[in-house]
Amino acid sequence: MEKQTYDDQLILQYLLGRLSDEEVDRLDCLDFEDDQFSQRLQAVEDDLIDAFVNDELSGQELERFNSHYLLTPRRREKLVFARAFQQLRHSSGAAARSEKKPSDWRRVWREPLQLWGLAAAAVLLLLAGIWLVSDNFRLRNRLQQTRADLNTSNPREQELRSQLERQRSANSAIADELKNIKDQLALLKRRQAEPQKQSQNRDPGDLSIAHFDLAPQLRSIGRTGDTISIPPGTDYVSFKLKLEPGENGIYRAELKPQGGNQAIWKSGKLQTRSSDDARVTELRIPASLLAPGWYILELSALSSRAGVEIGYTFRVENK
Amino acid sequence: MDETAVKVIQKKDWELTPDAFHRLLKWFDEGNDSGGQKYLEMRSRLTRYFDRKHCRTPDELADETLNRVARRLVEAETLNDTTPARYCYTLAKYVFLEHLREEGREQSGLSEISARSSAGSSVKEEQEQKEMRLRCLERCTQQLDPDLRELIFQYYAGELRVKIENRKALAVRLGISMNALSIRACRIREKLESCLRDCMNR
Repeated sequence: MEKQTYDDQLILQYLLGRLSDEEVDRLDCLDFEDDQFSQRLQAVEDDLIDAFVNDELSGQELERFNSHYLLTPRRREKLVFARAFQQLRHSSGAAARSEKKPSDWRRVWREPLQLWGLAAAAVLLLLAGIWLVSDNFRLRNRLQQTRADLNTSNPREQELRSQLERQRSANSAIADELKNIKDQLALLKRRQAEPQKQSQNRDPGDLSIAHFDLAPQLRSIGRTGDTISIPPGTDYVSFKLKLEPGENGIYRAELKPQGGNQAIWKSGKLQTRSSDDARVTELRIPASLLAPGWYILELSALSSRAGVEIGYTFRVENK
Repeated sequence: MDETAVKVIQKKDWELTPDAFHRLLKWFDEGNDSGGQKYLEMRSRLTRYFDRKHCRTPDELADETLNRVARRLVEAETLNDTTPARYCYTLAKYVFLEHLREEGREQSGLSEISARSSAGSSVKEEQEQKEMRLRCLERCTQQLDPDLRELIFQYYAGELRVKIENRKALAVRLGISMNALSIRACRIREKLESCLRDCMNR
């Protein structure tokens, strides 16, 4: 008899008596001649009995199992063994010890606490991971920002320092200028207290003052005035005006160009003093006002109602 | 006495001598000494055959078949025209047909046996039987080699798809094919069944 193909489903139908007589004879012979078929037949038969014990059979398979398969004492004995073996496995815990449930979704749903615990742990891990990543990102950005701030603050700091230096320099210059002005003021005060001569006192760093003595113009016309030469760079021209003996009042002076009526300079109150048996008064006029030409200084006593009483004519010539 | 009946009586009167038995074993081995395994395997197949035919006494019919083979070997001294498996199958069919003629229709007989077996014990007796059976089976599994005991438990662990996955994993772990694994499991189970049967019959 030629060997033909078979599978577990065919063997199952063979055991349940659902094949033709011809097919039954073929498989009967195969059981004797084919060791592999014989072993497979035993395995399928054992699994069939276990399926019945585990309530896995239904419909026509269950009906045929009861009506056809379980007819012999030997098969019923196998069924008894299968039930006892199942009971032994369950009672000894061998099923729980040896069972492997790699992908039984029913086991997962039968242990909800384990499922939710794993899910919660997974969620926590995910959240922790997200937080770590975002915090790392934030710290990196902060570090970059800090570095950028450091880079931008340096020029600013340098600018501020430069400004500070410039300010300090300016303050120093101002302080020096203030000291200079103070010194000049002090010199002027000293000069006012000292007798003045028609000379140019030019101290380094001080004002340049030219001194001249002027005699009063006689009341009669015809007397020409003095000619003075003002050196270049002169700041002030100091005039010592001689007065008639006995003149003791307080005077005021006005500088006018000769022939003009508009005063180009007016003095304050002028005191008189004695000098070489005469009475004199002194005044100082900025040299810039004395361009070459004729001028007259008109001196009038404050107490007098008569107006100009003394006139001093002079001519300024270029030097 | 009818000649046919005489022949049947003469056939049934033939006894298996040690020499005939050794000749039978040698014939099954076909030149390779299997230590009697070939004979036992053939007897098991004969028993299952007669059991599938719903015979009440499959073991007796299997022995009858093997006796006839042994006798034929003695009478003919050799049987080279066919294989032992084919010869046993052919002879088993004849034995089955004879059994049908002698015992009548199997269905009615089996029905009576079924009725007798179910009506003979009370609930209490069944429970006692059940407990005794469990104790015997425990004893039988303890007699197994630890590796074999672990194998048989793991082989039948789980249900439906889980059981299939477990078997695949077990085969991988043992480094054998699924077919080889099922053969091992079947042999261990058969051994346990035999042990349980003997324990219950004591």
